Amino acid sequence: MQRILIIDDDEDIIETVGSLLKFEGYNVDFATTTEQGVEMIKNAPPDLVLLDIMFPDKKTKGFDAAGEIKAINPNLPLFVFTAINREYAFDFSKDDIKADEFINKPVKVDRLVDKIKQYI
Amino acid sequence: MQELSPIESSAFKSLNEVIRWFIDLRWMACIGVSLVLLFSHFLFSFYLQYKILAITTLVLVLLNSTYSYYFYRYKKQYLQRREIHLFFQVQIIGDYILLLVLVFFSGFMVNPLIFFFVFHIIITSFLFTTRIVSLYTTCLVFVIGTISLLQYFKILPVYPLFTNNSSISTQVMLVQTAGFSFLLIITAYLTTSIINKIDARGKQFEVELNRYKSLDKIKSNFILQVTHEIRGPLAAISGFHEMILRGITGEIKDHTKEVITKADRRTDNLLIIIGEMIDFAYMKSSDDSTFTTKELSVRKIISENISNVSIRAEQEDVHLSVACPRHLKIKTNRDLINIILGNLLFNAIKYTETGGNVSLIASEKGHEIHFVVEDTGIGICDNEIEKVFDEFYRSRRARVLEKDGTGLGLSIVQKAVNALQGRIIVYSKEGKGSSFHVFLPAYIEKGKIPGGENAEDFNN
Repeated sequence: MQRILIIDDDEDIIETVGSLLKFEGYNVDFATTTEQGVEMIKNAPPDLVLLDIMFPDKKTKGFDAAGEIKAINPNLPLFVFTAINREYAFDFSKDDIKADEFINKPVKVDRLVDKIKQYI
Repeated sequence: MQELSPIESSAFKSLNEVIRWFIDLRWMACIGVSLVLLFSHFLFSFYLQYKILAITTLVLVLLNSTYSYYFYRYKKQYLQRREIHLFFQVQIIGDYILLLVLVFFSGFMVNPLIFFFVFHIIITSFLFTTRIVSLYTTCLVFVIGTISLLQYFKILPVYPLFTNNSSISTQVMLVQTAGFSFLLIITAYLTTSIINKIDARGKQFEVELNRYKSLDKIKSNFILQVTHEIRGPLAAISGFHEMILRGITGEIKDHTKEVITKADRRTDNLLIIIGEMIDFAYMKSSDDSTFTTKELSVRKIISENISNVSIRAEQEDVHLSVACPRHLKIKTNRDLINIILGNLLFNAIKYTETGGNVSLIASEKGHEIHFVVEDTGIGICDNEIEKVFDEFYRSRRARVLEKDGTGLGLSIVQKAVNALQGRIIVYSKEGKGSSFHVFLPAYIEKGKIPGGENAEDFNN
């Protein structure tokens, strides 16, 4: 069974997205801080990562984490998962954000699964 | 000495405009004087110093050609303020001297052309500081006063305007000179004080405007923050709804399912509204550095936007269709084009009843990319069509069909289209459907700030 790691500080998001993905047949792990998430990727690499951007301690912490994750394994599919409507709350034009997909929160699980299936 | 301030002057938009205006006026003066000389010589046979007057006119023509040459040659270059200052001073002083020569040899105080000095004083006060205007006026008054006195004491000859008025008394001329000097001083005083008042008001207005702009920006950033904070919890609520509806939490009764579906729909609407507010706040809080452009595949942009609305279309049972040539490219700002297409598609789906069609067609038209979003929806009636782009405006039928809505969607679209230097046209028939035509330039280096349409390029 494919393993998906959700890194998000919002436990309700972890619960809802997690259980919906479980229901779709994925194995789901979660971390509530990026440090914990990065540690988990080092120890037991998942098949795909869903990463939030805004964390309580830093507004763009997810981007830093994205860089770290891609440094560990550049081929690991990484979805940035954010409640900002479009990309523009951050400067994506610089092209230095390492993510394979940008998913707006909330997302209907069908759409998320469609995207996931394109990668794993 | 204080710097001259032609650029800050409220009367002119740019320095180039002033210089061009000066040169044009001078050409007109050359033509005018030449015509008068020709007419008076051949038709009226005035006794005038034609040789001297013709030479003076010729000098004016030569000087103006030189100014014109320098103007077009250095137009594109950056000139120091000091150099611009000098260029203006040379032109003004040259004009004063030539006019003085012209008038002196054609009757002096009797010549109506002397009144052009008033005009000169007014122009000078538009361009220079009060101190410089006072200096010019004083010199002028001194020079004409001296000439008049010298003529009175018969040291300088009088060149009459008409053959028969050599009898005009130099005493009368002296009185006229005094009156004229008074007129010049009054003119200088009045115009400089009016101009100073206008400039002060303009500066105050600018300060107020900047203050207002920064407040507006703070407000928009605040909206951006708040809406983001609201979006998080809503995302969780929406997720919980989906869990219940999918039966993850256990078997649910049909009625419960119905109620939760309604709750979920309202949540979705709320999310759309928040999305619009974020777009709106984004457009308002943007500054010069925001709208960079990039070459994008039109087909890819379209497919992204279609996939964003496909679930909604499925829920509403609206059929979506797309047409776009494979290799179509556009260099533009990605966020803004997504705002345009996303909002137009969402609106089209929202206001199309079950079983209807929405299509998005892109094609190349010269240097523009032409997008058409067409629907078979409720349409817009004729007297409302021009208001649909207004902020917060919602048409009568839209309000009936959909309770939740901000009326911001199309106003955001228009702002984004403006920012990308494009245009948008809407055709609609009530009850039949609407089509929105967006024309965007296929290649732009930078998007404009939506609010800054009046900001003009200095060299244009």
